[in-house]
Amino acid sequence: MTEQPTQMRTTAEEALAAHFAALPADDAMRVQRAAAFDAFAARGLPNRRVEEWKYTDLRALMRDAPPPAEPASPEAAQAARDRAEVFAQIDRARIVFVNGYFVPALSDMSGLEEDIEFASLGRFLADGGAILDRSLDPADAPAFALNGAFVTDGAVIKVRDGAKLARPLELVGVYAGDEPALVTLRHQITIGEGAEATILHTLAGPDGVAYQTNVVSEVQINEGARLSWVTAQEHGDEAINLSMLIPRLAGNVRFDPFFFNVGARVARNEIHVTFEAEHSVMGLRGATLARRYQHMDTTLVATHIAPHCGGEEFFKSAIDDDAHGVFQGKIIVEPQAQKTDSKMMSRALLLSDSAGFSNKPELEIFADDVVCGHGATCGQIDEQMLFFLRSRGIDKDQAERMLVLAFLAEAVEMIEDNDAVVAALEERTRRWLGLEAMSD
Amino acid sequence: MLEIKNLHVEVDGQKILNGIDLTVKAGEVHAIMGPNGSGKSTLSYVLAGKDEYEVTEGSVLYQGADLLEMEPDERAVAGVFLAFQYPVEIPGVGTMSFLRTALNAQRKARDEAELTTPEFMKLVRETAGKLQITQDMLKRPLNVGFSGGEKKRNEILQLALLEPKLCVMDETDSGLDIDALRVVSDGVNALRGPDRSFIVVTHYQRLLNHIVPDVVHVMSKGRIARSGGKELALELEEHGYADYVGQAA
Repeated sequence: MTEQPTQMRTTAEEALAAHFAALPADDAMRVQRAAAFDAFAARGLPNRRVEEWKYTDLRALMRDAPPPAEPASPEAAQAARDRAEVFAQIDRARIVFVNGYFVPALSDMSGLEEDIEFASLGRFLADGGAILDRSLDPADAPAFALNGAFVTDGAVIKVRDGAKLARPLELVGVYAGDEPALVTLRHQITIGEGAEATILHTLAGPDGVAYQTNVVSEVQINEGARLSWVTAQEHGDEAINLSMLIPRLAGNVRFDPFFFNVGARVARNEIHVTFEAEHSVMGLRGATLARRYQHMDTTLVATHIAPHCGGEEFFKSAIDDDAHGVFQGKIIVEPQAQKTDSKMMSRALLLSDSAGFSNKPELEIFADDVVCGHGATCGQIDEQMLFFLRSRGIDKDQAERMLVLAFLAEAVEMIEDNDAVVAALEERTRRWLGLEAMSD
Repeated sequence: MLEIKNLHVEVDGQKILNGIDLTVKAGEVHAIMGPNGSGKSTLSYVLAGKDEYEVTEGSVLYQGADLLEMEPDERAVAGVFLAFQYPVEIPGVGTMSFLRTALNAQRKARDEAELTTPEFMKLVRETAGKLQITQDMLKRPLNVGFSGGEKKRNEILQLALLEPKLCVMDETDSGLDIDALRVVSDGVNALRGPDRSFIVVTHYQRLLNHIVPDVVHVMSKGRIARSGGKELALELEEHGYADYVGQAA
């Protein structure tokens, strides 16, 4: 390959290089970090000419790059954790990271001692034992490369073979500062054979602060395991959030991820899932709620290596004001992955004339005996429904909110066997819509 | 109660109503009959405030106020109720939640206290029971998966709960079998009273055997071609609408 002509670096790229250069020189991970940063720097921030980033021009959207965050004071950390309350009504264990660092005092794993092993990634970063380049090629994934360069901590979790978690485990990642800073976490999770778990992933931070977060979750799901994964992204209104979920599925796995996106100025949520063995099924769902100037991108890459696997993806987005939503869904079926059954659907509701949504389904199918379907719609509130509600005395504004709630609830209600999570996310949706809480 | 004068209405530039005059007094039941395409449903929608209908001439006074100036929800709060010919299915909106929102929205707009959950539940259970609406139906999303008859009964449930003053029933009998027709008619008859008026729009006379009108109007080509007592409906049943279909507008 010929050398790329030197491109003028942006302010953000300059800042990232400076922050990387300022990391401690005696870091045990220096070689791995440098490899990751070099992979990033070779191409820089992705822009709209990079196909995967066509609708999310990060080069334009990320104007600057703040320095890595310092650990928060105990008081600030607790306050920040307490604000991340979307799942407050659910009896759950918690592993809390503030500003990119594990905070044992705010975490609670009681009841799960027999079922999980936990260590903070920070330990392995300190002794040079962490492996950061396993799941994706940093050269093709700029957010992943930046994560490897700047990661400070994360959860290393093993759910033991056959364990059935008595209560959900929540991974909390919050920012507690009032100055712009960068928070970088890497979670490495293994779900043992035949194990069953619900993992809640909560991301939050203050409004009005241009902080940036980069969270990568690598999840190995072993034979016969069941994992329900629910991300609630509620970052502050000036934040940039890059997050990636990278699950690898062994055989006979049931995996149900859900993504609830309501926060951040710019949010790019990538899911890279690989079906590595037969008879695994994924039901991937999400709801995106965007308004004002928010830019919310969900990008899925599902790779079928093994035959007889099934995937169903269903995303709903409500976009208001000048906000923009993106759904990119790529399904790759390798030649040997016969009998793959995959359905993908993205539905967007545009609530203002200046709201926008970009849908991009992509199918790359190299096997000849598969069923792969996809659909995408983009529409407005149904006038007949609106008139019906108004004709019963419900004013226009409230009727519209009810219909948006109904639209989004259809996705949220697909979360199976977890009524408390459904209730929590519906309540959060109501709050977004300014609807009163359900009292019954 | 209601005074319609020389009402002209267009949809997409096409004239549908060509000078309707109709006065409905408190407590009266008026039947509006007529062939398909005569403008019966348009009149219903105009009274409820659907916005694709353009009033080009005429006036509608409801309890002395200009009805045409009011938003659909304001009309509902003021006591106008349209029972839809085709009630809309709304996935994701629970029937109970909808009923409660509508009832409390109206009460709030009238400065009345909102009903508490137990009060509301009791009221709905009693009313639904009379209309043979099951708990299962109430648990479903609004009208989703309801049969035609169930949807119509659900309309009457809303009518009974919201206690409007002017009820416009748009082809409430369409799609109903004999038993459902009786349940629906009984529901309506139970709500008749000196302060409540009905406009019953129907194509067939059979509904009027159950809901006996004070006045019958025949619509044709966007106007009221003839008005009379309840015997007019029987006459129409016998002779059909042939006399009216050919008439010049």
